[in-house]
Order: sequence, then C-alpha cells, then structure tokens
Amino acid sequence: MLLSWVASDRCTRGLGKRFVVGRVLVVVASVVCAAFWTAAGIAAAEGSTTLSANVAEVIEVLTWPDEVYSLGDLMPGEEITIGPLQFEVRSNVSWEIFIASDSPNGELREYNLIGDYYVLEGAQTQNPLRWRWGESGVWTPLSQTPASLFGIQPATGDASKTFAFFLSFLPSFNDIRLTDPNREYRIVLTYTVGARY
Amino acid sequence: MRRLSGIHVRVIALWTSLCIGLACCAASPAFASGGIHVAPARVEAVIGMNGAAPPITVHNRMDRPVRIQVSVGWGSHDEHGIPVYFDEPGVAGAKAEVHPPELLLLPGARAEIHLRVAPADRPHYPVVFLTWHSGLTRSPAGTEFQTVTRIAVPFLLTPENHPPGQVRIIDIGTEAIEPHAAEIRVLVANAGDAHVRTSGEAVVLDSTGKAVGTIRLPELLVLPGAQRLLRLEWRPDEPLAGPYALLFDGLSEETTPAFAFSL
Repeated sequence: MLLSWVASDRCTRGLGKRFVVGRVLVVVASVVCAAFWTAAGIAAAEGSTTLSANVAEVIEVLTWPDEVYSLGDLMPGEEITIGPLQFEVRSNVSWEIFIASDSPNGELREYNLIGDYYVLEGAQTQNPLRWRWGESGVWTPLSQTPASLFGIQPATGDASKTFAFFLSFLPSFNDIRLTDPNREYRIVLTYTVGARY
Repeated sequence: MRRLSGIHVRVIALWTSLCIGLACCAASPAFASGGIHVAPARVEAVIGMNGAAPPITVHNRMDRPVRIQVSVGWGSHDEHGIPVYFDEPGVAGAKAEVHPPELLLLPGARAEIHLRVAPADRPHYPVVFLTWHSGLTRSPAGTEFQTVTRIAVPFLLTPENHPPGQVRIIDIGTEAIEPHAAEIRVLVANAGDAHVRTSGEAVVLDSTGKAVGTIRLPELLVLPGAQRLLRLEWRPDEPLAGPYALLFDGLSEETTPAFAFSL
C-alpha cells in the first residue's frame, strides 16, 4: 500500500521518473531494515543463558565428643556410664562414623605421663571399655578393629543429624591401683567420619 | 502526634545499633554456626604426570580456631563396602604426601590441602585424614580416656587412559526368601590394579533354557584386591520352582559358566 502510494500520480506529480524509482528503492530499503531490526530485537528478547554446574560432596562435623574424660579414682565393682556423647553431622553424601581404640581389646593400659608413652608390660584393666549407641543398643567392647557407630547414614540434607552413644566401664577387683603419681590408666578412642566407597 | 523526648530517641538509637551489630555478627563467618567442613568428601580423578591430585578444601565454620593435623594413609573396603583404612603413608612401593601437614584455621578460615602420589603411572587409593584438636589438656593422674575425631577423605586416582580392573565371580549363593522371591548373593573380586564398578545383568533360565527373569546388577565400586557382595532379588510372576540356571552378562570380561541352582 505504501509502495503504491509512493508510486501514485498524486505523490509523484511533477517529479521525474528516476526520482520516483529512487524514492521507491529508499522506502523498500527502509522496510527491509526495519524488518531486520525487529527480528534482531525479537531474537535478543528470546535469548537464553545456560548455567552449568555440579555440586561438591561435602561432610561437615558440627559436634563431636570432648577430647579428654578424666574419671579420677574408680571403685571396683561399680560400673560407670559416660554419656550421652554426641555427634552432629551434615552431609550431602552417605556417611558413616567408625570407632576404634588404641588398645587391642579395649582395655585401659598403664600410661607414663612424664614420658608420654604406654608402659611396656605395664598394668592393664581386666575389663574393656564398652560402647553402645542410644539408650537401647547392645554394649560392645572396643577394639582396634573399627566398628560402625551408627551404621551407614544417608545424606542429611540441610538439617544436620545428631546421634548419641554411651561408654561404660566396670573396674575389677583384679585391677591394681597405680601408686606412681605420674602413671594412669588410659585409652584413646578414634572416631573416623567419612563417605563410603 | 506526640514528639519523642531526647531520652527516648537515645534508647531507640541504642537498640537499633545493638540490633544492627548483632545482625552483622550473625552474618559474619566467625559467628556462623557450623563445624569442620570438608569438600569434596571423596575424590575420583585422573592424576597428572606429576602425581598431583585435585585439592580438598577444609573450612572452619566454627566460632573458635582449630588446629588440624593432615596425614595420609591407604584405603580399601570389605565385601559390604565398609571402608578399611591403613594409616601407613607408604604401601607396596607407592608413596603419598600431603601438604601442609598441619593447619591452624581461624574462625571462618579455609585452606586447601594438596596430595601427591608416586609413581604417577599407576592407580592409587590413598586416604587423607584430617584430625583436629583444640589442645589436649593433661589431666591429673587417675583413669582417663581421650578421644580423637577425624574426617577421612578417600581418593580414587588413576592415570589417564588406564584400563579399569577385572571383576571375577568368586562365589554365588541363592536362597528363597518368599514363595515368589529369591535372594541371589554374588561375591566378586577385583583382580586388576584399578578400581571398577559392577554393571550388567543376570539372566535366569528355567530347565528348558528359556529366560524367565532378568535382574539388573547394582553399580558397586570394587577396589583392586578387594571383594564385594552383590545382593540381587528376583521376584518372578510364577511361584519358585526349579532347577534354574543363572547367566551373567556384562559383569566380567571373562566368560562365566551358567550357575545352576534350585530353591
């Protein structure tokens, strides 16, 4: 319609033929440019941004048991229970906690506080330190072989997960008192938190 | 409207500044409620020519400083996938070193830990242990126990283009657990020098040789020298009868003969 008006007698009256053709070409070029810019604008409006990423596997230990528990003088025949000892973990991968002792069968061994070593062929308690999870678990003697404290746990999500466990020790009348003030009965427990293979 | 007196204005200003201060403290890393944060929790990577593994990051998200000892050992697993850790830094001619060996992380601070293994032309399965202390206190003599908490980060490191391990079937056991269900336990071992993930399927054939069931095998990691138990459950439409034969497809490069069983 625009072109027919541009080329019409009313519009071109008094103008040369070449001038009219040039004018038509200018209008056609303008329409083509406008169409191109419009298409470019639409393309820009429909553009997209791609974000690609992955998420790292993470373990966070928020709470763990105290490092030293001094039990003082224990009475033979009187069992002591320590706990609840707590672990709080947040993770996006399945995880597990293992407990192991530095003595082969969980006994407490004579330790030299001055030299920082276990006394070779020193005294050791008759009964082992034992552990159980929660209030209703089964008491299990500690050993150097790692044991799973709470079994394999799924990813916790944003909310962390808290587990409690207890330790128990029954001093025996066969356990002798260490008279040297620089000696004590000692055991070290190692908790290893990690993802499963 | 009643105008506020000077004392009111001062009280409001004090409360406002207190609230802003608390909000700033809560937002700062030092007051973040967190713990010892390790990422990634496990690493599977191709090692470079220099034996370098991708670093791991440890982040102290607590409101107190923490001293972390970094050590390296080696890992494997039992047949149930339970990790087995060996605390020795070197094993079977292989060596693994971590840097730094110790860190003091202030509240909110993080640090990278670098691991390098040698030789770099063979697979390695080290484990980095991050053990933290807030300072052991010596107790008066008596009876005591000490606890040490650590995070173990297992690494699966292979040179580029190294072939995966070889899975072999060691043992198969079957048991009817319901009239319409059977459990098939397949014990596999990895005889290669690199880890491998189980895959493929088990096809159950009846006495005429007709396929009556297909069980997809779980994708489980088997480290070199280790065994892994695959627990499969078969629930046919018909009540269990027998005898059956079990054929494995895609589990092992070796041709495994059909395993005959009755329930």
